[in-house]
Amino acid sequence: MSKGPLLDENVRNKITQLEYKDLSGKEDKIRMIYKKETGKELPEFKIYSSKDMEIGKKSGFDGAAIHFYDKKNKINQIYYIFRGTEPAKDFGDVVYDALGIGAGKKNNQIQDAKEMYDRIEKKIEKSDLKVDRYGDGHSLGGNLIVTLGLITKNFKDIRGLNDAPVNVKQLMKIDAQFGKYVFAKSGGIKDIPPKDVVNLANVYYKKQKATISHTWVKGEPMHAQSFPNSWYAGNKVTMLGDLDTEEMINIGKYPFQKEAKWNPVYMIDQFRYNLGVKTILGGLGFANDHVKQETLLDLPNKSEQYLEHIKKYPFLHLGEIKAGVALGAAGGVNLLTSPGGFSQVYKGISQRDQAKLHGINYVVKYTEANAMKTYYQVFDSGSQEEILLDYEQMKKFVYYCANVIKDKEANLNALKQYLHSEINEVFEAKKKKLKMKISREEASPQSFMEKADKDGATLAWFGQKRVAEKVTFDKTFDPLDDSVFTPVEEIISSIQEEVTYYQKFLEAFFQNFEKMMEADESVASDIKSMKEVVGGI
Amino acid sequence: MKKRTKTIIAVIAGAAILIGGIWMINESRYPNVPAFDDHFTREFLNKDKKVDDGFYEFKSKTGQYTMWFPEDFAIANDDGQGYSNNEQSYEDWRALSNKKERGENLIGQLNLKFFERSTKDEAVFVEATFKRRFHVNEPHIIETKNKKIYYDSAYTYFKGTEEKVIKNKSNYISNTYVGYVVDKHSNKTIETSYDFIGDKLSKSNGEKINEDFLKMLKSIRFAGNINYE
Amino acid sequence: MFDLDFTHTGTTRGKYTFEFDGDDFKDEQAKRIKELIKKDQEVNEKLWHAKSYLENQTGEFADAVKSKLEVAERGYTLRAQQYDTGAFQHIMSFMHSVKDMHKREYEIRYKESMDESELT
Repeated sequence: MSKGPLLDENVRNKITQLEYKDLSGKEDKIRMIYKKETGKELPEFKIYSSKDMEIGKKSGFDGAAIHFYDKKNKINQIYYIFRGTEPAKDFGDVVYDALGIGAGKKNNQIQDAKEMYDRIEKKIEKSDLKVDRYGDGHSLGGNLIVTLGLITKNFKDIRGLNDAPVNVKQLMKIDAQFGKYVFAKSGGIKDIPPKDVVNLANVYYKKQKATISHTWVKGEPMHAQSFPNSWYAGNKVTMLGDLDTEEMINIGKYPFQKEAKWNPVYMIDQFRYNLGVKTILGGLGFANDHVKQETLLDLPNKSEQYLEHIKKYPFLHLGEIKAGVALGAAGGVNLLTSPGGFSQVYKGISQRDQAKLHGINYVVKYTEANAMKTYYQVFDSGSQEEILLDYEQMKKFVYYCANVIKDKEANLNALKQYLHSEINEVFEAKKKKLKMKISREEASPQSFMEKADKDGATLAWFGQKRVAEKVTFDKTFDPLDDSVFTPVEEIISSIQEEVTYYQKFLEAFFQNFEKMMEADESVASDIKSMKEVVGGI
Repeated sequence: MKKRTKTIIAVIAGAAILIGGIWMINESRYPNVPAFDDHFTREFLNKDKKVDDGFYEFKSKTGQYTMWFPEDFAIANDDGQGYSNNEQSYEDWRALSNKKERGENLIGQLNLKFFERSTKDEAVFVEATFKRRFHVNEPHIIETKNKKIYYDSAYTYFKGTEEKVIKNKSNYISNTYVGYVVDKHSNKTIETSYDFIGDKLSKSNGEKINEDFLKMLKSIRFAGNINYE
Repeated sequence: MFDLDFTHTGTTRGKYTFEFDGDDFKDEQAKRIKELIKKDQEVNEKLWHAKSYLENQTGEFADAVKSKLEVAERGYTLRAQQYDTGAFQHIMSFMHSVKDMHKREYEIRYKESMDESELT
């Protein structure tokens, strides 16, 4: 039986962070990280680095692998760790690379990642003990490790940290089998709609998705971007940090889509915005410390250099109002008059500082502080889109509903009690009281006669007197009329309908919930046991 | 209308006809095949270099290799997703074809990846490539002065999302081809796959596809290879 | 001669209404049934409140769930009226039944005489 992963997420995050300084020769540091986290010693391991293997010189790929092998203790685990673009690089470059907008560079890196994988796997090939593979990647590295996991289909789990989505159309070229699958399913048509490719990917990579998860710091720029063909493969998303932080603006998405549906002004604006985005696809960035303010403010006098910079990183200038004009020049969108463009610029300025949340250090920090919340990425059949499901909240919802429904049933029973017993009890009690009164009267016929038949009693004429000898009351009691019960019966029947409605509602909820979460085995079984508990509440 | 205006309109109209005419003539100078009909694909091709019946010479934008490109194919790059390169060190593209051949509808996909890779572990990469597609590592090998070609083929079909492979059965015509070509003088490498949709290809079409694939593989010339063979 | 002294027995019948505070009874029973109905309403409100767990949940699944609860909430107004009416009918009917029950027929057997001593 293979053990669980040796390294937990905190250790893995920290090693990913360390990878930016290259893992070659850092055995001691790694041991220290592990000891600090667990108090234990790491078993023997070997580090492989792309630099040592002379991989990635031209593509910029940078990754490492740590292999643990201990035959006696049945340990055979390998962790592939890919970092992102050089952090000292322009942030615009970071996002550009990671989003795969410059597909060639990214595809080259994936090819190198594959080379590293194939060579290492051959080296560590052992017949006696099956190897468990784990992967971690930050930013562009996250994109690479996810892609590698999809292609090789034999990782136990993969974690993308502030990672960028996969481009499904590029994936068709990178994973030949997936490419063939899409080709066959689409009948070889030239322009397959991106949504169709994403749907095919969700089917084709169903198993692999269950092993992939994403960890994002709330408010960091990468995951908020939605470009055509982008796809986050994976079932789980963990949000870190301050969950009240607003998400970064989505450059890929026109902000007034709702209005654009019916308002011609917005329609045209959206068209131009999207056109601008297409042109601007050559670069994406956010206000960056590297680019000095002065360079941007002095617009009219600017040199070729500046205009080149704008063309290369048009969105880098998004954080500056003046850039509206520059951006307009580069992308054909006049941000000063475009409501969509201006809204993004305005927001972009207020969010400049959030861009730093992209860094690996924030992933490390918030994971350690346990400031996190896990969501499941599931397919919402209604909207035909992937959504993030807050599983914990869903659970709370279910238990809450189930308990309340049980309360309602209890109330219904109280009403039934009232109908079947209490009414009669009250009636019998009144009857009993009345019978007593009757007895009392019957015991004193004279006084009764005097109060009941005053005239008769004094009818005595000619001095006659009347004396009561006996008084008898009719002691037959009719049962309560139906009209007493019927209204209550109707109320009960109506409430019973409500109970049935809510029970059916809960049933339907479970059905849909189970379907949505079926990809994740542990969740699926959790839901099953929830059903049993709820059924018995 | 003022005389001036009339003249201007006439000039514009004339210019439009002229430009249109030139464009049409220009277009007609290109061979009337899918590879040249597609404006993106023709950038790679030399219309004056028809190297063989059905093939034109293809020059990579990396400058690192040339090969014979089948005229019925066109790189599917209308959405910008069919081609990418990283200057001289990497290139990938995906081309599609759809034609009627001997009464059959042939829908084909040609994928190619060019990259640089260490030569030391060639055997490892070859094994990984062929095992991944065909579950076995038994490629045919053609060795020349300048390059080493590994290739294999099979009939494949999808059962759900699993690709089933049937190899070496005479009544199953191969519809999936994979090639791995390495430059003997550098670390340039090409990985290519050639797929066709179709329940059962006819024997004659199957033979032609096989022949075409081998022609393409053999035609690859890496930059710096002086001696052709 | 004439015997003017005579005793005779007779009976007289009538209906007597025993004391019964209809209003009091009505109020008590109303309290009881209204309490039961109110409890049910409170439970319903709790159930509709479940929506808040899904406040931040996007997607049409969550929307569908929330809307089912909203539909139930909206539909309750009509039901609530019906429950009120039903409760009223029940109480009135109950009260009248019990009130009627307190009207009892009686028969008094009496003796009448000039001479008191004849009366015992």
